[in-house]
Amino acid sequence: MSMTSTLKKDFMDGIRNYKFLIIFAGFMFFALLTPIMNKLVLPGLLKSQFPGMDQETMNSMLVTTQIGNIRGYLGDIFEIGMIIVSFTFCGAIAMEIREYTLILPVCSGKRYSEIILSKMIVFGLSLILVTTVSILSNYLYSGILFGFEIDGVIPVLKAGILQGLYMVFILSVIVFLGTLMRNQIIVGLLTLIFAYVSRLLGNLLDINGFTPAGLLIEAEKLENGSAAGLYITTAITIGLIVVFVAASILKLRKTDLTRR
Amino acid sequence: MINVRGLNKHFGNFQALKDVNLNVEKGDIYGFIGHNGAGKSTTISILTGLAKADSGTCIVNGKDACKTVNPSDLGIGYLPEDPSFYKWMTARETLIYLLESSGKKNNPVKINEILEWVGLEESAGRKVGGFSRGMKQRLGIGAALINDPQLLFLDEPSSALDPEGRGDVLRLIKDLRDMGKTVFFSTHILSDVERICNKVGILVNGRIVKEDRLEVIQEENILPIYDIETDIALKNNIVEDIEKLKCVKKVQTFDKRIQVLTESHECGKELYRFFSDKDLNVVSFNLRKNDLEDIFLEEVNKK
Amino acid sequence: MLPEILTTEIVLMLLPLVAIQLGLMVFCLVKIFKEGVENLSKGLWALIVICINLLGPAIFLIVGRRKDLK
Repeated sequence: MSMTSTLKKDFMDGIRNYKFLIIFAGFMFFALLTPIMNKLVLPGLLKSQFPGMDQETMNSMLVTTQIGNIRGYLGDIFEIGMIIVSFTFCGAIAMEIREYTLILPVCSGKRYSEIILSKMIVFGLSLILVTTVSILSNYLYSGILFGFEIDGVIPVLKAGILQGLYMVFILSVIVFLGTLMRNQIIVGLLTLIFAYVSRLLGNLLDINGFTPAGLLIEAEKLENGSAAGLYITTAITIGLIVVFVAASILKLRKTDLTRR
Repeated sequence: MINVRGLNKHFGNFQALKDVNLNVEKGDIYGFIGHNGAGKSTTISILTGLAKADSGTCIVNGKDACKTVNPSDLGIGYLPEDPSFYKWMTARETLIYLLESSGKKNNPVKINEILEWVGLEESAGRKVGGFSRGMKQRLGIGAALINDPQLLFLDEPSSALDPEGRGDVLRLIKDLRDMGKTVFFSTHILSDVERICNKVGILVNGRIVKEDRLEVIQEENILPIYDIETDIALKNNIVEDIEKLKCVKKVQTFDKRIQVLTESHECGKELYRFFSDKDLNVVSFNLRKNDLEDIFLEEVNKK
Repeated sequence: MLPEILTTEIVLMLLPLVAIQLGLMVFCLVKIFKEGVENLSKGLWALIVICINLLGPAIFLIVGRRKDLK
């Protein structure tokens, strides 16, 4: 009963505070924008900038395939979608502690684990749903404009879910940071820095297969089936999510919710 | 219901609570008095199980609040100093959410009862974000009662409110007393305590300096001062005669009124006799009652 | 801009994109002027919502929206 009410509350929070709307609009925007930019706007720009350029050179500078488009979209999401996700959910725990909204539920019998898990479930599922729907729209749009070239929709679905899982990992980082500090803006910024730096380090050290960012790289491959490496990356990511969630629950249990 | 022994708490170098002892019995309306920053809220957050003490035992409702992990295990109701709700929820949704947090099923009859009792039935469908301070306070009292606790902690329930809001809150606390609940509430408004409490604890700089039944405290501290008013101003020789009475320590005159500081309550008789012997027309004859304010200030100034 | 490729099909495809953009913008502007704002002035928020694509409305909905509404 109690868990259901927490889930219901977080769902209401997502709707009434426009969290779902913001991430949905944000992801869909890029999903629809990239193919149109690549088909209409960029060729036009190139033509007007370099009137004498022949078609072949132009094609080499432009994205002309559906796969290229989907990869472009996935890249955009890592850069800008991350900002949207971080700042939409940065208050998830930080603001609850800062505004003392956990005191009364906890005194009524709400468990700390429920508070954290419910947020992970509601916001996590919404992220997976949004990434999947968005990448499917992107697949459809780029297919119509550039021709379908991917073998079936499964690789696309897989890419969307992998990207969603990465976002759930980011959410667990946000939740954990929220139990450590009350300023939600700082939580958002730190999450972004963490995401960018960890991917950069992963690239430099060539260990992306063992970090959650590896999910994004795997997603960009747009392949059917799954390499053995993918299982490792997925397992590591899920492991990290569990660690962050558990750490958040333990930290929250020790937090003096009444401290001014 | 509450038994606190040797409670200590510090924040960094600041010793917030020093060896606090408290005793609250069933049915008490306990007024916990102290300046802002004296440590009232700290004490309450420890007793509600939300914060941890450095040392001491605090038996609340038969359980040790200093050792509980989940505040709800204590079976108490708590109204924080500035109760915070989700601004985007309506008053009704808030109460339902809190009721369901305890694992119970939504009970519309009960929710309506509470809304009506705190006078929010008409605003039940409005978002809490638009509530006034007084409305939030009333919703908070309703929320504290949602699990039918026998013991309630109210932290400064009336302090930040206008006179009307304060009246509402005091009425609710009186209702709680009539329901047989035990209420522990902190405040720095002493007239509120005099209106509804039967037991008082005074906290000064993290230390309990006085704890007793309200009437005992008032009794003990009644300074035998008599205010006597006559129809004409007393002549100097009469005042001197009064000063010569054995039990009188000091006399101050203010035109037709004199203020007589005496040694004991027995002096009243002598004063009375004196005035009737001299055939003076006494308009009023009063033993001055010390109010809590004086007692409180006296305790504070002892430090 | 490029009339030769603006076929009906492409215009139809552009519609959802425009709808997200305009929809969010109008939605936020209505909120700004009907319900009021927090942190910055109404004019400034309107400017942010109109000028900054997508992120403008998102920022407004997260930090600029008035939350103590009746």
